[in-house]
Amino acid sequence: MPDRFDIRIETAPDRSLVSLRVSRQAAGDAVRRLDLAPPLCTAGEDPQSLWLGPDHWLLVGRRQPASAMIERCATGLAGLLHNAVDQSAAYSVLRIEGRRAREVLAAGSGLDFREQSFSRGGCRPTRLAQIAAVIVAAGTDAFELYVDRGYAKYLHDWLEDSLAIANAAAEPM
Amino acid sequence: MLRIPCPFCGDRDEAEFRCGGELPREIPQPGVDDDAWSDYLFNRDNPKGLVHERWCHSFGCNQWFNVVRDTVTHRIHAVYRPGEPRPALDGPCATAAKSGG
Repeated sequence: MPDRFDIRIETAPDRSLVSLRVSRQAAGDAVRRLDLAPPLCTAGEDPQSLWLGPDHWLLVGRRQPASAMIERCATGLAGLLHNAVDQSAAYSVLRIEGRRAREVLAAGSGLDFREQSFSRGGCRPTRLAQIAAVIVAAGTDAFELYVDRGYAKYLHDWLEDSLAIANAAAEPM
Repeated sequence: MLRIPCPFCGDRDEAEFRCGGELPREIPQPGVDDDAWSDYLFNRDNPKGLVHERWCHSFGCNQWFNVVRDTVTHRIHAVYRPGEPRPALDGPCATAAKSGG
């Protein structure tokens, strides 16, 4: 029986997104003050922070608006050079979960998707199916893919095709 | 496809990066003549062997860093961050003799 997995696409207002950049000099202080994610990881629940670089994070809010997260940055990072911008309309978030999720993603990227290398709480800004994507491991076989909003349908179609190929390859000859 | 060790993200496929070309020598001081300035802008050593070049991890952390790559074998010998001194490495002949593939 071929695997199916659930692909859900979430965009604002389901999630609020804030892009936070800090000056290189301030990055260490900012990480301590706001408990920002270390390299290649996520941190926190709501807001959750996704590591995008040594001075750049994406803050994800599930039950609060972007304005609340921006205000939290302003107070928490007072005196540190930073900017926090609402990016809720910029991204689509696709969530995939299922037994073949790792195999399907590996078909579009050179990352190591094995559990021991990419486990829950991992965050990889990378290239997937030719487009820029931030891949977050949300569970054992669950991933969230943050892509530019206009690529949501393209990536949804690519995931469906990739799963069909993985299923066909697994069929007995 | 090269595998490039980003100093922030680890080994990634070449397709995640943008090559910034050979690292120029020091930027000239203000007030140098046109010949010196144009030499800085347009001339590069283009060695057969180890080259110091800049790469940007465009699809990842978006950081620039420097790579020492052998232009004959494509083997990457060292990675260092902008502003750090160039690593002291053997010349191309010595490296080729040791590398063994």
